[in-house]
Amino acid sequence: MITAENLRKRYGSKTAVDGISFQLAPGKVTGFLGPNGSGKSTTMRMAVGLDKPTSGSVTIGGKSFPQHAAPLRTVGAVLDAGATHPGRTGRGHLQVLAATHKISKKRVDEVIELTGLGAASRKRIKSYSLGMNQRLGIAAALLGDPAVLIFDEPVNGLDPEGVRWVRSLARDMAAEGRTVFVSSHLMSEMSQTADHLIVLGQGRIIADAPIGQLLDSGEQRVLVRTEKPADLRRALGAEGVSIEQTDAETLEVTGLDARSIGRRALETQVVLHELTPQRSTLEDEYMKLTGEHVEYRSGGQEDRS
Amino acid sequence: MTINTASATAGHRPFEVDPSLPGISFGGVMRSELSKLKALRTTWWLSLIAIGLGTFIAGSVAVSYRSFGGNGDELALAEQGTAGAYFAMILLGSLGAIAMTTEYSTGAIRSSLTAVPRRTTLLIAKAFALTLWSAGVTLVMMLLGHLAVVLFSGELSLTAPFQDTEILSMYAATGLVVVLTTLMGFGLGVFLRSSAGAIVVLTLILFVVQMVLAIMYGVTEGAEWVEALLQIEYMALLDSFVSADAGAYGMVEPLEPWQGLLGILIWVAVPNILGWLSFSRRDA
Repeated sequence: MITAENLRKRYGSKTAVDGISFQLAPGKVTGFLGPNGSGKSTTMRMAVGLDKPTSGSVTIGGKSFPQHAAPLRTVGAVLDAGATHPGRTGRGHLQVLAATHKISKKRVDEVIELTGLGAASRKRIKSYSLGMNQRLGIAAALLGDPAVLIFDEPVNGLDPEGVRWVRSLARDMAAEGRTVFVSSHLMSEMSQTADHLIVLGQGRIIADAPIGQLLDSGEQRVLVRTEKPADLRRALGAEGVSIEQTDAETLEVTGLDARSIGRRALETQVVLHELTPQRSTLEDEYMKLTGEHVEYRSGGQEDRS
Repeated sequence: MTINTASATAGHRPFEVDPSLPGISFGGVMRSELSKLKALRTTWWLSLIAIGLGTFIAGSVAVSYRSFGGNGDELALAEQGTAGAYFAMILLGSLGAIAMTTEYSTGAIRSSLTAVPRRTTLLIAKAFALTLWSAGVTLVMMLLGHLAVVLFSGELSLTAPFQDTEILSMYAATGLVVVLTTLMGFGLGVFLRSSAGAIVVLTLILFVVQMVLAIMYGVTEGAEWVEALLQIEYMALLDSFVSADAGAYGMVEPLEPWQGLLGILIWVAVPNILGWLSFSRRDA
């Protein structure tokens, strides 16, 4: 269980994490979502004691991370691929970490097997690809068979097979009752892995809810196809209803459900060819939530929020 | 505060870590630090060069001693044979610095600290591992150096250190200062977090400060404050601690050996304490 209370981190005049509070439950994959620079990595770094909070606290099982007697058995963290010495071999890196907790050679072999490092584990890390580094990081995180897993952007650099493997690993670990905390700036990634989402924007939490709830809270749009769009527009027009015409026969209606639209169409004697409620995608919700919190924006996208 | 209690109700039984499994131990962390040292090529290169250079210099000293006809002073001969220790100091001092700075330059520090988040424990274990390693290297270097002097000078007996306590204590003092200088390099590395920075400062301390002070001594025509500085700079302190004829070639009166050792310990402690303060507080 990870608990953050009024967690804040300032670097000079810049606030990276702005007083956030959350609680992560075991047995679930919690996605930590936000655009680049929203404070995800900083929060994760504070959780494992690499950075000190400016104020507030983050604890794991009620204690701050350094207070745990067996840190590697408490938390396995993959914070960035490449937190290794390039001159060591992958196996050497794992053995160095294992020695601190008297973790057996057998376990080192197990995680090498589990992460598919195989023969590469005897090569120097400098020869590793980003994907192999990522696998090595995950192997290190699994060494202590920990109760909590913290993965910062774990699929970066992985091939499609690797991405699927990380997803199922996260799900399996959660199914065993572990707390799994995975960050990503990709909504599509989270929608396939997470049970619960915490969305961060400019250091603040903008949503903290189960994935399903986030989807349901989205505005309902209804796609309507009719021969007389102008008549239907008049009939539907009311406060809180917005109607957008996408082509000669198609309207997108927000603010009314499909049932009410059908009834009004009957009342005004307008023939409908299609009446489809549009479930907003997680991606839409994410863009909506983070739109105003994006720090870096690509050129020509100012209007999008 | 928006703690989401809904998310705290999980559907699965939480995973429990077996509390009987071993946690972090100082011995374990030190073994880990020793294997980090051994896994790096730099460690082996610097150590082999120190041993090679130390032995070569001892041999050369012995050869020239014989060709110029020695005066039979075994202690002086043995001491000259340890001249390679100065190179060992800069080489192993650099190793001390690199042992820490590579953790930062490679990012490995983040892995190290997630395994051992108690920073003081990590730092002390690293210092211990370095002490063991540098003591081992120094011992081999001095044994081979002694052997070289014995072989090439024909003056010093193999068992001289056990017959003459002055020679034994000179060897011990020399070995000790090499190890302490390794630790000074380590402290500089921890504090400065930069290999180049730490090695430059170490070189200044070992080879430059004395020269600059000597020049200033001349310029100021022997000002008292320069004289005081000349007594407490690192190399003068080494000389007063190790050398039987300390100050024979110096400009100022050397301190007593015990004062020399105390001064060396202070020189070593200062960067280490600054490093510890910084390491235990700063973000990694």
